[in-house]
Amino acid sequence: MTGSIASRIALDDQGALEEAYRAYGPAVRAYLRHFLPREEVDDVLQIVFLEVWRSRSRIDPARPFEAWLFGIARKRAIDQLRRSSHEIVSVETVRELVGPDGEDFADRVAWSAELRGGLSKLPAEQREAIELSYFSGLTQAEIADRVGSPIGTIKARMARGMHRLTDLLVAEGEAT
Amino acid sequence: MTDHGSVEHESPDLVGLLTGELPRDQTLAAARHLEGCAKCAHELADIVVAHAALRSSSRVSGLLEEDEEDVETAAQHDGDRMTALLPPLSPLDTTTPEAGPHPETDRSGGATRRQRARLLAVAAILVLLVVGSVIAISAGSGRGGPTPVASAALQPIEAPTSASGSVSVFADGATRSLTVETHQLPQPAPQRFYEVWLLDPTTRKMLPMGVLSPSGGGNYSVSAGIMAGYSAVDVSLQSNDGDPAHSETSVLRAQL
Repeated sequence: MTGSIASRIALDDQGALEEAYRAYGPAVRAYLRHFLPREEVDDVLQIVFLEVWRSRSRIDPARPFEAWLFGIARKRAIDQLRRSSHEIVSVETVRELVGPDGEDFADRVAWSAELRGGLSKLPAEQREAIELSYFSGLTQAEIADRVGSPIGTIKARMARGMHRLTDLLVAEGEAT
Repeated sequence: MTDHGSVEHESPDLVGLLTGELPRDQTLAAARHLEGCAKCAHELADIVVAHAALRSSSRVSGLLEEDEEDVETAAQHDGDRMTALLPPLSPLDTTTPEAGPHPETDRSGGATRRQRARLLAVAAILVLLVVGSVIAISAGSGRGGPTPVASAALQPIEAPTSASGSVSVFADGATRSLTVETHQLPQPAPQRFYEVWLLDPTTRKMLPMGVLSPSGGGNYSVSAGIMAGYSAVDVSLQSNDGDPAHSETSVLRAQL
């Protein structure tokens, strides 16, 4: 999926840029919001995707698109922090943004975005069970109560969903 | 380790094992079972990548989480601002495909509006690129065209001192179009090229505008709001190595 988005952007496909924005815009926005004041996020978000488009001839199909995208977001966030007149930038922010720690954090956000893309391909019931488990912290019994299904059904949905998700992530990794 | 094949056996709850939901005795029993059951061990390996990705993602999501009110306010702010930035939209009807279905758009009308606002923002970028380029080309080729709102000579930095050029900025509503012309720049080595950047010399913030054509010129466009943050134009020599960052080798620069 993401490989094809990247390759289509590289081939001047404007629809692929829209697709990338729709798929990754919220995650990039959340990433930028982690470091920048809200009023600055929108401009930097636009700049990130503008740079994706302008740099499309340099997209490397051998590298995950998400990592490339969040690498750009990280650099533009650093630019923005340098440029703006924040008198105080926390040590934690600097650590999470600059240097190897910052690259690692951007990679983790990129992987998270890739995962979200995989989740979106699962059947809704499997996706719901997995999201309630991992992102809402519910046990399988609590999920069963929440959605009104037998616990055996929830276990089966989660197991199938996890198998499918692994397949998608491995296929994505092998494609790049 | 054995494969049970047709022998019936009771599989442990592998998802529950990974998510830490099994009590101590079941966890230990599952571990013993996995030592002797190739089928279950293989199944566990099959889902462990998803588990690791989900755990990593949930940690990242926790770090990036905004409170709901903040998100809603920001989204509204986002939509209003981006809509206000839109140029005339008629070209979008023929150049922008309909947005496909997306899980978030099915949940609420608000999400749909936000998605639309963001899509429109991307469309705005695309329209700015296309319309801006047309305007800049027209401005550059026609006599009696629009008068530039700013222009400056490109001065050599590391290029031979004989190299030169000029930058002209044209305004059309919320769009700023740049026309760059260079003269006597050395032919770049194979796998190298020249790239044009907007630059804020004070903060060193840079925005890539695009590759300089082999003929030494180029037309670029950007919104007025973004342009306002920059006061110089830089031409760099880049390597075709996939790194989108500035190479730090500037050859020409103009202060607008």
